Amino acid sequence: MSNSEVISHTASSERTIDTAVSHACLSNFIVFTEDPDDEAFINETIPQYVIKHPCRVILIFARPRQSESKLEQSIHSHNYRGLSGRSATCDQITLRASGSGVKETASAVQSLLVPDLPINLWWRGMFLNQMPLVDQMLTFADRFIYDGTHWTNLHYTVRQVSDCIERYQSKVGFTNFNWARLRPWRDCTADFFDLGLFPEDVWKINRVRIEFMSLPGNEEGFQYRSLLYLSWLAVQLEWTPVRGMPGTDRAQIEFTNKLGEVVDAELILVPQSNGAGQSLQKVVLGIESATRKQEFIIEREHKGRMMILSCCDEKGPTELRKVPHSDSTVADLLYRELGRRVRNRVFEKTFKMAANLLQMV
Amino acid sequence: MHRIALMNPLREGLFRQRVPEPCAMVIFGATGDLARRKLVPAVYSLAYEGLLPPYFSLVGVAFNDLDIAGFRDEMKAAVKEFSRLKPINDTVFNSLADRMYFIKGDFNDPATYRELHSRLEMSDREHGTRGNRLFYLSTAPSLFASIAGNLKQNGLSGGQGWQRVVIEKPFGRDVASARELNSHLQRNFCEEEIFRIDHYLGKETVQNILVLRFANGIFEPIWRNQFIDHVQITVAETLGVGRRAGYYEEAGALRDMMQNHMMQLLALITMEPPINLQAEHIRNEKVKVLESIRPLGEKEIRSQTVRGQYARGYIDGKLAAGYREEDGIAQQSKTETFACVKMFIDNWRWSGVPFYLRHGKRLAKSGTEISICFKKSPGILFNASDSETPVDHNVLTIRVQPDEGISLRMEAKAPGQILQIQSVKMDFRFGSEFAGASPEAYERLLLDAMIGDATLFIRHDEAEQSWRFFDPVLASWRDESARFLPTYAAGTWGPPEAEQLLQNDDRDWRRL
Repeated sequence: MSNSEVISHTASSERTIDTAVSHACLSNFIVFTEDPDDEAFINETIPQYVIKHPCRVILIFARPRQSESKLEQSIHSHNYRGLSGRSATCDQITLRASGSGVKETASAVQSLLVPDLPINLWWRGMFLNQMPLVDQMLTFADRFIYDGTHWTNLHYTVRQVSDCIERYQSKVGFTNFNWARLRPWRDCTADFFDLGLFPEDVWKINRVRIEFMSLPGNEEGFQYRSLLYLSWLAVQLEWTPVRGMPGTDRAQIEFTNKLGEVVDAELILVPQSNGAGQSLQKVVLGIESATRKQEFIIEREHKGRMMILSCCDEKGPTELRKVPHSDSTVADLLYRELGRRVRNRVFEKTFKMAANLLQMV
Repeated sequence: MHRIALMNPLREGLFRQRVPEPCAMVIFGATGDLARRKLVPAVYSLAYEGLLPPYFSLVGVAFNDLDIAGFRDEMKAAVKEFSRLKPINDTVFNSLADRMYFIKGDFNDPATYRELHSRLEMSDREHGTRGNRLFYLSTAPSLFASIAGNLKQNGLSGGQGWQRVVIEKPFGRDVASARELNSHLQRNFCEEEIFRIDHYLGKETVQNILVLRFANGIFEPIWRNQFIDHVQITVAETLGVGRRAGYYEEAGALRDMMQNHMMQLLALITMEPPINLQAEHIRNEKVKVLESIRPLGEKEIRSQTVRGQYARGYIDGKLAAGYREEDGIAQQSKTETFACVKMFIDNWRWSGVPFYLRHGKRLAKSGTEISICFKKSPGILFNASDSETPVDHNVLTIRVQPDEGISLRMEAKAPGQILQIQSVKMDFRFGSEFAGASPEAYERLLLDAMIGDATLFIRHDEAEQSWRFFDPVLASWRDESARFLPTYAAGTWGPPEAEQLLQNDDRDWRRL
């Protein structure tokens, strides 16, 4: 099917739909994958996402290593019932590209976009392999979403990605799911230091202990997520990295805060407690001086799916609150991250700091 | 909000920017309908979303014979039944319930306040609430002044930390009583500490009015008398008075809905752009426009207002009783269940533009909408008097409920050899485009009150100004009441006089 046929098909399908069904579209959403095993996951995730955020979905299933060069298109609609109870629909166009046809997908996509709406590009897998195509897509995309959780060879990869972000960040917003998954941890951390609690203490933190779990074989990726969290603290609290002590099970980094005082941080890989634990498990932010010892603790409780916030001083621990927490689905992450229209400068600064810290651990 | 965000460097870039300080919330009338259906479920939702401060406690005050355990059980049942977040999370509720207390007492008895005082001091010690108090008066309005006075006399206002009082409408029943209430409240709390709640302002669509007007460059230049023919605001209900007979007999349609909710909608639609989004600037602009509404004299009241009362009729194919047949309603009741008013705003922007406000119970359909009807295009090409292709007004409609959204009616050529013009509608529906669940109005408003953001609350002069316009209407209707009160069959759009009001101006009410 040619592009013009696809577009006319889209138009006619709108016309034949029952009038009670409204056509909804808030953005263009391009999804690229070259992993055949990824198709099922994408096909499961997209309907969950479009219910929350109706958009024109353009799926690209690429097989660059196949010898035959092809670019095929097909279309179908997602129908769903919105909160108001009314039926709504949005389009999904699937491009199947193989061989040198993969290189043509950027131009094919452009003619399928709904004008005037934001263009979000979700790249599944490692995008550095397809940099020429990424470069073409980033000439028209507004947002670029990727997931750094499963990256390997981080020292090299993060530097390359950092360069890419640097190159495009003035016009493209970047989102890394590895970072987005830290949001509940960042929320809970911030909770301690709001007005009426311990606002002054945020500047006095001089000990950080981050405990994380990893799925077997992915230690590097999960240590990197912990490093992103630490980098966020360092950026927001204006800490300067001084030196690091590398190690997968236990890495240490020394910073100085803006008063020139030492801040010690450690990232600790803890043993699996339930066979499937991953990511951050516990964060302890400490203030330790000759006159005072205070800890702010965020802990993940798997059984009740809660985040527990507590404080501990000389008198002992006090539980502040429990907040429900379950691992976000990818559709949830997409919805939350793509709802943000402005550049995520906190992420950009954090990512840069993480690239520096990686060199130390 | 910004102050808090800036003071905590870790809040930068997070979605949750608005975080209240530690506080204790006190609900007077804690076992009543509003508390059970709205307030406590809203508090639970805030706890579930992690939006309550970590140091928080809730104290219920009511006359019921309950102990703390009984109160916690009742509140759990209420949350189970009325929360939008189901099933309820036991860990979150239990953690909240551990910080819930109950005081049985008479609202006029100083002993109740002494007990409350010591309970709150205990909360400060046990739950770290730091002297910050939010008093929610979910009681009959006649108790507002007495509760406020007792709070002050018993040392519950003006102490360490902040103290705020939230009251529900009605804010008086005329200018004099509104002033009296305000002066009672202000003797015990300063205006910045008084939060007059209008739950309409907590609705997403109502908040969206400001975004529609001031975030879209195309609307503001044409949002004025050169381009707008007239504006209609309709709040239609199919429901009757239900279990509110006692209250409604005293209030009527005008006091119940028009003087407060509808005047707020009018103010948001017509106010000038504020210099920023701070509460005082928005409220200043609302007051200015309310002050500009042309008062109605006796002659205008007769020609520009209509009231009515529903009689027996059919709604959705079912027979509905007439108002005077409802339980608790007097056989000879003269209370209006329908009101419509035509008004003008005498300022540069709105001079000459009529505003038609209509509200009624037991109408044909439920719905709240604001329609901006633009002037027709000049009758040169398509709209000449002898034209076979008459064109209609463009209408921008803001649907507040149900099916929240915005639509624009415009004219288009129907396909074919001959020129035929038809009206088409561009439609935006919140429910289709934004599928994420919206918070309940009370969640937003309670959070704002805890934060101290009064943007969505009504200032004393807004309430008084609104009464100032309606007082003569109410007085005239009261005098006229012995004479004639039009009726309308349930399931219709009000008395024929309401249709006539617009037809006199060569216009029609929009059908919802």
